[in-house]
Amino acid sequence: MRNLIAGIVLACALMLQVLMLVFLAASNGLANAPVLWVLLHFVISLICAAAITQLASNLTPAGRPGLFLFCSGLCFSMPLVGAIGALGALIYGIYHSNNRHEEHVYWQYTNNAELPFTAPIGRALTKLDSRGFVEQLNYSGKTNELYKKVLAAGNIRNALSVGALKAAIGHSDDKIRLTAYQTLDNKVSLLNKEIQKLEQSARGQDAEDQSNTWLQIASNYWELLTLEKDEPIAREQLLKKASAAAISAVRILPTNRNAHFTLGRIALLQGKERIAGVAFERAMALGMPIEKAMPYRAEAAFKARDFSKVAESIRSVDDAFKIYPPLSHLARYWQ
Amino acid sequence: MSGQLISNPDVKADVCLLLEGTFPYVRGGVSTWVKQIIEGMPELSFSIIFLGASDADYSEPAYDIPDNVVHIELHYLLETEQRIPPPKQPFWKRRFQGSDKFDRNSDLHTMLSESDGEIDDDVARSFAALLVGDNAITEHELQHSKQSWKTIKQKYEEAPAGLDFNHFFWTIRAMHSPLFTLARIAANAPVAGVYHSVSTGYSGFLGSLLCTQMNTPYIISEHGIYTKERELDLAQVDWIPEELDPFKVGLNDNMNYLRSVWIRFFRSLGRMSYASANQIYTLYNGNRLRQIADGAPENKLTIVPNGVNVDRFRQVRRTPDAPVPPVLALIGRVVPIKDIKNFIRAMRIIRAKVPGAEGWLVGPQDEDPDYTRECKLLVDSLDLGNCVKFLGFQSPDDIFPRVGLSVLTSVSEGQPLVMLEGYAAGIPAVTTDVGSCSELVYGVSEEDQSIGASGAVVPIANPAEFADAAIALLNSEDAWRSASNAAIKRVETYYDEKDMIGRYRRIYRNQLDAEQSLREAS
Repeated sequence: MRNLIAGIVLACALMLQVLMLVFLAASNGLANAPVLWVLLHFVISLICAAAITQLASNLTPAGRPGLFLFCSGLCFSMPLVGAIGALGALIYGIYHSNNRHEEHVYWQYTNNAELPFTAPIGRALTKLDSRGFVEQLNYSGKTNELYKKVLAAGNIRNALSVGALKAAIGHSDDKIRLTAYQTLDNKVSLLNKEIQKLEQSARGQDAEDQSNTWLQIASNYWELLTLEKDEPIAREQLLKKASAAAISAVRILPTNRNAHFTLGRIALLQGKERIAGVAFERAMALGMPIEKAMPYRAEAAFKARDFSKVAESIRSVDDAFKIYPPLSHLARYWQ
Repeated sequence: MSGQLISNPDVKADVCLLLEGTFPYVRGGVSTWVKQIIEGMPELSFSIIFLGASDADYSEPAYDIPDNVVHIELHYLLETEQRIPPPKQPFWKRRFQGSDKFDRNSDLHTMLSESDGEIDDDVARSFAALLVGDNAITEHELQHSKQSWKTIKQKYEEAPAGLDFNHFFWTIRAMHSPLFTLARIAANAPVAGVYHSVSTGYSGFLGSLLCTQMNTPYIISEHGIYTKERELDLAQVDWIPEELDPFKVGLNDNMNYLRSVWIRFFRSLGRMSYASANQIYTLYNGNRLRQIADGAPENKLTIVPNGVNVDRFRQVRRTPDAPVPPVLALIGRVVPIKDIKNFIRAMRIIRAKVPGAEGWLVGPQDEDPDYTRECKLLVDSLDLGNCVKFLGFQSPDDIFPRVGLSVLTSVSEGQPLVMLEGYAAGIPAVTTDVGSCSELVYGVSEEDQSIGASGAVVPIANPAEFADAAIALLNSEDAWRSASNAAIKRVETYYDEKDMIGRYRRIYRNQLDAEQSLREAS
């Protein structure tokens, strides 16, 4: 409605400006009274400017006074042409700004990483992850924000998210608890399905492929172990299955160094240090880089209380790998 | 598509039950409750409108249909409808009316999305009028009119930049399509003295349409919280396209826009259902608080707890000197939400400490075959094949005389009927701390609490604590007897079916009287 009135007013004002120009050209009537002509032209220019400002208000919603001044100047300094030109230019501008497709650039609106949640003084800290999410789950009352974070945790790597999701399962809010539970359950189901699929595809492959498939099955059990690490019964059962799959991979292709390495890591978690030590040595003998396998070999020796072997294992790692933590601390200790 | 079991659409029933995915096709707590209500009031006649997803999901009814059910009709919301012909009206009239309707629709949508919680009854009625009134938006208009296209485009422009228009457009179409099916159901619905929905969601919104159209009383009874359950489902489903932004880090990211649109849709259905209902009934205070947060007006809410047929289960109680069998029965569907794996792991600990202990899984196994298979594999890998048994659906009357404990390892529950049935049979319960389980074990009021614990409550997903609690009850006859006596006393005092049915009888009677006076006045 306002725009309609503004349009009518503008049309009338433009006609008046035409009339004023006619008077000026004909050198009669108002042309003989220049002060009055200028005064009238000034008033009509203001009316034109006000009407144009209203019609183009979408263009500069927060800067109407500026637009009004700009249009007033144009209308006054360029009778008729100024008003028509300003209106045309503004309409053209509005049209293009409305149809312009703005593609936001990711980095322009990516939030800064949040600082870790800080526990108030005097409150006992629970187990923290790198972003303090577990702490938030225990003490924050903002359930809706926590719910969204639990949802987002489902999209990050298992090793990083599983602790937080396990903590969320114990939350008092139903939505948070169930979302965390379903997220973990979906991850477990997916891995189980993949294991079944791999077990089927292992049949009928050549030795190398079959060995790698069993290695992949062992890795999937390892991943399941990440999801169920706090559950002693599941841990024992999954380690048993992972070990069986790694042994199959080694049996089918005894030269598969990755299979020996995985078998060693599983045996280490099972508390079978001797088997672990042998598996790591075989992996290295088959070409596994020393800097990758030797720290685990040292761990197996430590668990078996063979301390001279620990020192010997760490000594054999290239110095270049021992200057950074966590190996640097160990290397210094066992020197 | 729709079908009918008992067809008397012209008979006016006293109560028309609006049931979504429950009785008589799907077994479960809500279906048992519906059957209790119908059979408990033989003097009232009932009609049933059953809403399901698609015809293929339902074969034979899982329950016998009581004699006082006079009419049942089945409707499937996801079935493809035949092409809807355009209305026969001059184009200028259609254009004029359409514009007006879509403007109203836009305003109402904006109002809903910009507000939270309780809404006015008028808003719910205005929405209902958009679907069932004389000036309703038709499915043809939604799919083919220029106004509809304009509205969708406008809403798309309001959505975050970068959203795929194709996904957005089809989401809107898919989302609204069942509403037109509901409108068609409402247009031909059986007449009743009172409409009663046992959830919000589609059946709750159908109630809104019916009470607007027929000007008849409408009540809701909620066992679980439909909106919450839908929201949890929608947060995980993979049919909503998800584009993960590799540049975003951390856990503060907002939910995918289309996912949040779906969730808002079901929240809105819930809010409109609550706003239209004359009364809302819930099982316990925890659910009541959740409903208030979801938009249920506090003054409409009343708690009516579940009840079981105590007399029936009294027949299967053991004599006081009978030995306690070391058998734990988990009665429920084999689905992830019941956390069956937790029970199986706990059984491994129990088996090691109580030789001869057995765990029975009593319930349908066909709802989630993958999960059932995983559970069976877990049983095999833990070498529990001769101790954990999958018995399928069995009558509780046959099970209770042979078990020592009724157990639940669920991560979510309302007020589980199986626990109460077990109590009536003198079986204590070991349950996770969810829903009203803690209230059922330790009591609600001071008087209730003085009865004592009728079992044990343990944290969820903790097989070791669960096993310890079960072993403590199984190994101590005194503790078991004390819990059994408390269970019997509690169920007889607070959860008798007669009390529950008596309360619903009064509720129906009041609503029917109100309907009668309304008819006489008009």
